[in-house]
Order: sequence, then C-alpha cells, then structure tokens
Amino acid sequence: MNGLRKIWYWLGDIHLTVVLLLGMMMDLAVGYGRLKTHVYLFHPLNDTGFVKWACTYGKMNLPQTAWLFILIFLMAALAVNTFVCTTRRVVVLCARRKKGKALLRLALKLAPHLMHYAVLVMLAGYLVSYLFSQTLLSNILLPGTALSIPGTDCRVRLDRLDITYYSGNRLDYMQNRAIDAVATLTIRQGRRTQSGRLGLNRPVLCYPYSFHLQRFSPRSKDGFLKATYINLVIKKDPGMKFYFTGMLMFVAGLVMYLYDWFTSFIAGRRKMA
Amino acid sequence: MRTTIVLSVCIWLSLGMMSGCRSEKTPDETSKNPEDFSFMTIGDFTVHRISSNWTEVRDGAGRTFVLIPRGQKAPEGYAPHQVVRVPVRRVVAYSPFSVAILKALGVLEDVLVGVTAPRENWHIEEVATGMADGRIVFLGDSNAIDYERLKMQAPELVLTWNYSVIPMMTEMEIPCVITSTPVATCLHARMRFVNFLAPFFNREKEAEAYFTKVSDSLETIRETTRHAQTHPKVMWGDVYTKRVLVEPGNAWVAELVGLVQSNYLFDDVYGRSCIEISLERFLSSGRDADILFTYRTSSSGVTSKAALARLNPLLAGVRPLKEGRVYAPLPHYIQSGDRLDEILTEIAAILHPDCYPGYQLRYFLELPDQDPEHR
Repeated sequence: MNGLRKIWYWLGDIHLTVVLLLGMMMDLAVGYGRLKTHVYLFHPLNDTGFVKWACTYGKMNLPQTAWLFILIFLMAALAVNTFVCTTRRVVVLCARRKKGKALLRLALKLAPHLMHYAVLVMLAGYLVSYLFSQTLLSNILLPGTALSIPGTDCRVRLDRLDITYYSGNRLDYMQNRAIDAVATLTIRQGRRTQSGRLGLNRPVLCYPYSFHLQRFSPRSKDGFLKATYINLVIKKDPGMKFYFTGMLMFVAGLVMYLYDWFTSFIAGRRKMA
Repeated sequence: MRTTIVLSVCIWLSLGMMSGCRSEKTPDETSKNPEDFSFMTIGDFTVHRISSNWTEVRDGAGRTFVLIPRGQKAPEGYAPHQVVRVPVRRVVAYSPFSVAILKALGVLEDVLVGVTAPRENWHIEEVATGMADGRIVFLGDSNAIDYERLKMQAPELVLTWNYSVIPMMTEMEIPCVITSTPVATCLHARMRFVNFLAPFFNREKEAEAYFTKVSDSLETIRETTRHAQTHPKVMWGDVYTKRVLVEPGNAWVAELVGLVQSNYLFDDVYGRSCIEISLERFLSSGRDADILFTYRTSSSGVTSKAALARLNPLLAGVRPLKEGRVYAPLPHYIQSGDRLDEILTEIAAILHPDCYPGYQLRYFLELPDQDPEHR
C-alpha cells in the first residue's frame, strides 16, 4: 500500500512535469526538422488513422517518425502526471473544506483544476480522432451526380456548383480566375434529408459525417481543365464530442477562475478601505 | 528527484537513438531491394504487400486499390472499382510518362489499348505502330473522352491525372488510378514511380532493373560534376499570357539542379508541378539566372531567343535571353520517361558542359539568338 502511495505521489511530482516538458521540447525540435523534410510521410496521418499509419509509414521510416511515437509517449505521461497532480489537489481541497462553508466557494477553488481536466479531455479527443476517425478522400462529384458512403445508407448529391470568377480591373492577372465556390449538396441518410451549402472554409455537417471541399474545377474560365466537379473529403470523427466537451469545461473553469479572482480583488480593496 | 533525473536521462538517450541523425535520402535508402519492403512510399504513392497474393496500393489522390491475382477471391471491404486483377491485360493511359513507364516495364505492346493524344503526336514507336494496327485507340482529348470508345476497348485499368473521370469510371466499375500528385514529385519518387506501376503487371524485377539503371546514372552524374568549377543559376518555367508557371523547389528537376552543384532560383517555391508565381518574382529571379529551361517546344513557335521574346516581350528582360542560355524540350522529351537516366545526364551536361565535353543534346534544344532566316 505504501509502495502504491509512493508511485502515486511520484506520478504527480512537479519535477516529473518539468522533465516531461523539457523532453517534449527537445522531441518537438527534432520533429520539426523531420516534418519539414519528410512531409509526404506525415501527410497520410490525416486520413489513414494512426494505427494503420504506425504499421506502415511509421514502422518503415522509423528514423524519420520515431519522434512522433516518443511525443505520444511523453504526452501520455504528461496527461497522467497532470491528472494525478490535479486529483491530489482536488482531494486536498475537498478534505480541507470547512463545515458550513458555502459549496460555491469550494467550486471556485476547483476552477484551475477544472481547466486541467478540460485539457485532458481535449487530449483524449485527439487520441480518439487518431484511433477511430474515418476519412474518405477524393470523392468526385459532378453536378447532378451522387455517391454513396461505403457501408452506409448515406448518399450525397451535388445539386449545383456556383463558381465566382474575378472580374475587376485592379488585378489583371486574376481576370476570369475563380475566387470562390459554393456547392449545394443534398445528403440523404435513411429517411432524413438535409441540404447544405459547402464552401472552401465552410464544411457541411450531417451527423456523424462532415463534408469538406478539397478542390473544385474549373478554376479558370479560360484554363486547360474545363470539367466541372468538386472533390469532397468526407470525415467521421468521434473525437469531436470530446473537443467540444473539453472546450466547454475549459471556458467554465476560466469563467469561475476569473469570478473568484475578481471577487477576491474587490474584497481586498474593501478591506484596504 | 533521483528517479526523475534517471527518467530524464532515459528520455534523452531514447531521443538520440530513435530519432537518429540521418539525412533526407541516404544512398542505402534508395538502393534497397523492393522485395525487402512490405511497405514502400514513392512520394504520395504507396505499395503495401500484405501477403503474397494481396497488395494494397495508394494512388496520387490518396485512394486505395487492392491488387489480387486473377481467379482469386478479393478480400472484403473493397468496392468493385477498387479491386484490380493482376497482371492487368488492358490499360488506358493519359500521361505520356505513364506510357513510357509501361515501356520500361516491357508491357507496353501487350497492354496499352487507349491513349489521349492522336497518332501524329506520338514518338514512341510501339504506340505509333499500335495505333496504326488499330490495337491502340485515340480516345479523344483528355478533357473530352469518348466513353463509348473507351468502353469498347474494355480496359481493366485507367491511368489518369484527370479527377473528373473518376465518377464515370466508378460507374463502369473500371479501376481508375490517379498518377499525378497534389505536390510535385521529388527525384526519388520520379525514379521510383516504376515501382508503383510494377505490381499491376507483376513486373517487379523489370522495375528494379530500371531503378538501378537510373540510380547508377545519378551516381555517375554526381561523381562527374562533383568538382565542377561553375555553379550556374537555373530557372525552369515560362511566361504565358497573364500566367507565369514554374517548377517548384520540391520538383525533381529542382532537386537534380541542386545535386549537380548548381543553384535553382525557385528553391523556396513549394507546391505542385507547373505552379503559378507572380510575374515580378519570375523577372526578379531572371535578372540573376544563367540558364532558362522553357516548357514550350519548337512546335509552339519557340525556335530562338528572339522568337521567345516575340511571343512574350516581358521575357526579353531575363538574363538567359540576353547573355545566358535557353533550352526548350524537344517534342519526344515528354514521352521519354523510360530513358530517365539519359535525361538526367543531359540536364547535368547542359548545366556543366565542361564536365561533359562533346556531349550531343538529344532531349533539349539550345535556342539560338535568332531564327536562321533572321541571322
């Protein structure tokens, strides 16, 4: 029992935090160089999923990818360290709560710890995304055509594609070049039908899928490529729930922390007066 | 505290050991036998040998295909248009480079059934003969394919760069592999592309022979130019009406220029092949350049520096047109991917004529100052 307690305390040690953060700094410095020179090795991480990537790109190019595995190990260790450290403080705060003191006071004292837990939830979200998300690349849709998402009853149809071409006088080289595109999609999932307007920075969400515009054609009125189509990326990301939960928790913790700080500041001023 | 110090030492040691200090592409990396690989990356392309009768490949668009020997059951989880029966017997190819690689694999005459350039544009003898025999068919311009004709040719595989044909090919249940990539291919990927196409035809040995030949020539080029006295500044691109297109710094030509003791002036540009840059940037680099490689061939009127300047007066201001050298590709250059070793050697010879005395150009034309009739 004593041994377990020692391990528990060691896992939450601030010295361990410093070591882990220094390790992450060094690892990320190595990773920056590797990432810059071997983009093609890391790009597929966005769509293959971490496990498949690790078994293929990661395993076969270990000198270039080892930093990422080390980073994941360090981040997992930091997450454990943060959890233990925060939980220890929460336990102490709860134990020290004086009888009769308002519950609100205790809740406000827990605000920084809520923010720590929020970061852990967001990190868990990233882990879930890398492990379980599904990405379907290069889904080409011509106007009036539809495609099915494999293994589902979900069907996406491109109703129309509106491309805006530059027609001003100021930028001569931009004449007849596309500056914006909006695709109108109809998504059928079972009995549910949803329409959405898809843009380059405007994905369409249709739970559990999100649809992203990767590229469109024609990019120019007088260009070589004349076919009209959009290239869709379809994603199913179960980690999103975690990010949003984590963000909400973080915002709540921040509001509580600021409220606590502000009320303490006002009380201090009153005492001084 | 002692434990944390021990842990930190372990972390530093593991970082040092695992991350290593290898350069981007070491010779041993490129000279590995593909038979040793269960997974091979070729730029954005991949070949994953899952078992002796199951190979998974990823094309330039990131789409996955499974290659299964004829007569064997395809694994579950793949749509019909993702399953390719190997060896493939009938192929339609859009890009001349893909056609040239089929030639390098020794399957061109047996498998090619459709192309997107008319007979008069072909300099590959096997294609010209095949088209004359009616075995190989011109399917129409790459932007206006005659699908009825394509269907009659019954291809088992379409190699294309045009994404817009994917829906139609999917409907026809013909596997359609994208052979271009969103960013320009590096030199290693250009040399290894043959290894991507080889499993479709069970021609891994031929692919390896091709790669070894190109790899050896590259090594010879490096040795020959190692002590070159000059370091020419090179630009590769062209100015069109309202557009300036160049090869970016991540393209294979840029990498080759750097390998042969020369300076590529668009080294900081990153992106796809034939990437657009501003006219100001092109002209600014053009002030320092010694050599310009244009995209345009003599068939588009580029027969001399004066002709090039007439086509686009803005180009007249770049140094290679005034006191440097300008090279235009010959029409068969784009269809000579099977002789990549010769092309690499020729580019090296252009950059360092002193290292290659008496070299006769075969793929590029050095533009004279004036057209013969104007001299």
